[in-house]
Formats: sequence, C-alpha cells, structure tokens
Amino acid sequence: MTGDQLRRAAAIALANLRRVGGDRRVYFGALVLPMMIMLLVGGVFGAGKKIVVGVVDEDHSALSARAVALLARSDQVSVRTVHDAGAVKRSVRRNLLLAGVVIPAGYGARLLAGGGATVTAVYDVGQPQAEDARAQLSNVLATQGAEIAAARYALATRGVPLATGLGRAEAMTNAAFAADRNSKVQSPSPYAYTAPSNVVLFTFVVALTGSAGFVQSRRLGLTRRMLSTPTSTGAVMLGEAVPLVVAAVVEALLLVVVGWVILRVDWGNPLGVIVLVVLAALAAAGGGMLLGTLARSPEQAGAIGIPAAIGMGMLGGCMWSLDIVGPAMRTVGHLFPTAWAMDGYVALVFRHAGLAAIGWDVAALAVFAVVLLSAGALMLRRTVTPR
Amino acid sequence: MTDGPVLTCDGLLKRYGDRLAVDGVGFTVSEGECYGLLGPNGAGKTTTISMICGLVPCDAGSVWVAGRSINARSVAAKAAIGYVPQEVALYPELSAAENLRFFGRLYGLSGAELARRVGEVLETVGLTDRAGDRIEGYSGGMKRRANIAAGLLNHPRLLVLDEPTVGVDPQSRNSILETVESLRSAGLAVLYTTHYMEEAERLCDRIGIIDGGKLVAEGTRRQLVDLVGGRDRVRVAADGDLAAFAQRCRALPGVESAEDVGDAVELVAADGRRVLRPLIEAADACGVEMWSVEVAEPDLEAVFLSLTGRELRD
Repeated sequence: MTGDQLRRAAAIALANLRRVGGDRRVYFGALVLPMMIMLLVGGVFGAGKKIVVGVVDEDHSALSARAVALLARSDQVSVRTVHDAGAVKRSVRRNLLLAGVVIPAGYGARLLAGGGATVTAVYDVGQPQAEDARAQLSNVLATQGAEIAAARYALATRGVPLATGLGRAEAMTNAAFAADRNSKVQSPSPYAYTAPSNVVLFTFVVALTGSAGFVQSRRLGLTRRMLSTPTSTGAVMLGEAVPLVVAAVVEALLLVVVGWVILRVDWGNPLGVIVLVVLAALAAAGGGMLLGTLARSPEQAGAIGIPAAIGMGMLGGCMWSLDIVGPAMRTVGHLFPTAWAMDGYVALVFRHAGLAAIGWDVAALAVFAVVLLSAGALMLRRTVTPR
Repeated sequence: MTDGPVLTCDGLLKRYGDRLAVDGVGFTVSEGECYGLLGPNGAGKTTTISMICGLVPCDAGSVWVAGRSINARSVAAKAAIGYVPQEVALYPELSAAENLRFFGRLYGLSGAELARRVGEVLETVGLTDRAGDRIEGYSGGMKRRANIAAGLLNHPRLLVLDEPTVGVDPQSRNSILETVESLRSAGLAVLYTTHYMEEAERLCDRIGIIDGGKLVAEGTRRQLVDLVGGRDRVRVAADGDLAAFAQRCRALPGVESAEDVGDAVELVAADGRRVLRPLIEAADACGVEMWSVEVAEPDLEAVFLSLTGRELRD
C-alpha cells in the first residue's frame, strides 16, 4: 500500500474513532462500567476480607499439622477446623466457607516415604477469591514439598536423620517468612483476579460491540462512497479495521493502569502484560470484524456482541478461575481466546511469571489473533469489494 | 482539460444472476451539460451510475471520464468524478465540516487547500452557518445539501447525482435544483438520475429514458416529444363568436384542429408557442375578446408511457 493510501486509511480510522469518541455512552460502557464492576466485585469479595478456609485434618500427623499451620500463617487466610469432608462441602455450598481442604489419613506417612498424597480442595467457583484460595493452597503444598525434599536430600547426602532435617528445613522456612513480614512484603491486591478478568472481558466487549460501526458504515453507504473517491479497497478495509484494534488496546491499557494505580494490582512482568494486551486486542478485533460483516444492523451487532463477549468471558475464566472447574469445562474454555489471555494474566499476577513462562498462552493467543483477523479480513473484503 | 465529452460510456452491461440489470447502455455527457437518466425505480439507473463511478464492475462495455478509463479497479482516475449517492452517506455523529474534511482527505486534499475547499463547497450549498452542527441534527433538505457538498470537494469534471431530491420538502428540492443549475452553468458535466419528470424537464439538456435496463430513447425534451409524435394543446378562453374564431384558427399554419367548447376554443398544434401571434390576430379579426391562453406541451410522462407502455411511477 502506498503512502497516499495509508494516509487515506488513517483518515478513515480517525473519522471512525472520532465518531465513537463523540458518544458519551461509550465512556460509560468502556471505562466507568468495568471500573464499577472491578470495585464492586473486588470490594464485596476481596477488599480487607480474609479467605475463610475450612480444614479437615484426617491424618492428625506432624506434617498435616504443619500444612495447616502454613495455611493459617497467610495474611489472607483464616483457617476454620471442620470435622468431616461432607461438612466442608456443605459449608462451601452455603457460602459459610470460601474454600475447604481435606488432608487425607496417611498424608504425612506417604510424604515421608517419598510418595505423593492427594489433598482435596473444594471451592465455590462463583467467588472471585476462589483463585486466591487456590493460589494460597498451592503455595502451602509447594512450601511443604520443598521442606520435605530438603530433609530427604540432607538424609541422602549427609546422613542427617529425616526428622532433624525436616525440623531444620521448617525453621528456615519460618525464618524466611518472618523476614518477609518484617520487610512488609505486600500480599496480592484483593482486586488481583477481578482486574485482569475485566481487562480481558472488556477488551472483547469493546471490539465486538465496536463492530456496529462497520455495519453502520455499510448501511449508510459510507463504505461505497469512500470507494467512489481515489481510495483503494485495501485502504478502506484498513481504515475500518484499525479502530477496532485501537479501541480494544486502549480499553485494556486503561483498565491495566486503573488496576495498577487505583486498585494496587501488581501486574507482574510489564512486557508480558503488553504482549497479552496487544494479542488479545488483535484477536478481539478479528472477532469484531467477523461480526461486523455478518450482522445486518448496528443494533444486531450490539445485541450479539455483548452476550458473545460475556459468554466467552465466562467460559474463559473471567467470572471464575478455570483452575477450579472440571477438565471438560477447562477444555471447552480453551476453545476461546479469553481463556488463554486469563491464563497468561493469572500467571503474571499470581505467580509472577516471566514472558517465557506464558509462552504457550501467548502462542495460542497469537494463533487466535491470526485466524480471526484473517477470517475477518476475508469477510470484510467480500463486503467491501465492488460486485 | 480534454477535448470531447467528459463522460463517454458505451455498451454497459451488468447481469446479476439471471437478471440483466443493465443492457447495452451508452451515452455521453459534455462539459456544461446536464444529462438526465429518467426511469422508474428498478430501471437500472443506479447500477448504470455505479459502473460509471467504478463502484460496480461492468460485465461488458467501457467508461471513460475526462479521458481516463474507469473500472472497479480504478483508483486515481476516480479523482475526476464527484459522486453524490442516493442515501445521505455522511457520518451522522460528525458535523458537516468534519465530514467534508474527511472526504476531502480521501480526495487527497490537505492543509490550507482542504480548509479553503471545505469553505467553498459549504458556501455553494448554503450551509456555511451550520457547518459546525452535527449532520444528525440537520433537516432532510440540509442533509441532502451536505451530501452534495461532499461530491464537489475535488473540483470534479463529472458530477454524478443519484436521485438527490428523494424525500425532501419542495423548498429544499428547489434549493438543490438551483445548486445543480449553477454547477452546470459553471461548466460541470452533470449526470443526474431521477424518476421525477419535472426535475428532468427543468434541469436536463438531454435526457436518456431508461427502462428494464435499456436506454429506450435519448435526446432533448423536444426531440423526445417529437419522437413519439407529441402535439401541443392550446386553450383560448374568450368571449364572442367562438365558432367563427375556431373556423379561422383551423386555417392557420401549424394548427391541426380547433374546436369551440363553449367558453373557449381548444386547438391542437405541432408547436403551440409558434401559433400564439397568429391566434391573437385571428381573434382581433373575428372581434373575439381573449381572456387567457394556455399552452400544454406533452410531458415526459407521456413520452415514457408511449415508449414503454408503462407509467413513470409504476
């Protein structure tokens, strides 16, 4: 495309953005609404509240007691002792507990013998803090696993008795924890899950509902009129598509900044966040282009776009974590780009992963972006090309 | 500037599936000429001008505008055309000035030249005072005028107007027609499609009658009327011996018949205007006092009916 045609494409894109920017409803739907949702959900379910976790210790061993102690030590968790697994499930179902953990009989013995043990966790998937609870439990199990591994290593290499080695390892963990507390290491923001959820959700809401602009251009005869000027089909397509990408990226970045500055969300690796924002926006824009060419009226595009985005958000983990749903739902969720974007954000925010660690999520999002943009461009060309 | 017609189209053919939308249409439009394509809805007018503007590929035929061939792949050659579509193809949320600046950029204008040209076309269509208002707040007529303004930004050699007065009030319609007349007078070649014969009669130097995708006749209004053997009807309201007056009229050159109808004499003549002076002299000679004279020329509706067997608004 020549520089002349690129300038024309930019003019079309700017006109479309100006048109959208002049509509005050857009500011409410794209900025005020997601902020309200973040504050509301984070406030009701997260801010200043501890995660109440019911624990059933069927093992009554030193290791199971240690696991409970590690869990109770977290600033974010309040442990309640429950006597049987059935009661935990009932309490979670009735929202008396946010989560429950059942440590089975033989837990300590199996770990000391070098084997594995299955700890059952129960969550209310409708609660945004379920992901926090899951992260806390994972952390506890990882810490205890590391302590046992250290003790076994000392036994194997230095002949230190297992109980002694374990005691030393636990002492080191306790010391490290005390140092963390003294250094006032911040615990995750209560908005740590709802912020990325809304970033992903509204990236898709904005791009899919933005497709109404495509339909309006077509229906008003604007696209046709543009083609009556010395403007190429490619420039018209580019000018119509770019605003969707720009709107989705701006929306996501605004919510990231709001989450960071106002809600104190630690997003983790900045490059990882930018890559996720851009790729999710491209995938969403591709979906928007497809919808924009298929919808017959702007109203229809809006009516389909919002529920489609919310549906993809629900299946993709924007309402609850996919880590706490069954494998079938997890697989279904990953048929949509929202799930891969959420996986990436959760890894960045909760596990402080680097860009390499979210490589699969990034690759999957990139594939979605390429496929959806290609399909959208093909459909748009069919719509725009004179026949 | 090129010699010869600004627009030459020849043998245009467009088929949609089994339906032949345009069948061998060809005509020319010269500088300072307004050519009207007159036909009912669905006659093929919009498809024809879509091919002329390079918006629809022709299945056969050719289009030349200002010496350059136009087809659906043309880009630069479209700079010579100003297209005013039937619908108001402007962003309703933007002001007239913003819309015009936008389309000006698509025509390659920028900076001071763009600002100047936007001001000029707003002046031409009489919207300078409302330039900053959003299009969605305009009346139907104002929207139409803004729509025309966007087609003038590029100083086109050929202005194509597709039924620009559909759905506007009579006052706005008159304003639009005056604008088109002034543009034609300024030397623009104008291609004007309409199904209102009054507009075609008022504006167009030549008219092509299109029906069923075919150009069934073409020429000036007089030529079209002559083509179907049309005759003028003259009614002279008068007092006195009307029977003698009618008899004397029958002898006048160009008068084919004259009847006494009680309070008037009705004549049929090849050219009603040419017999007016002899009629007055005949009335004096017969001692008849004339009250009024009406000349009714056959209109394009009659021509269309004669050529196609259908009413123009069928």
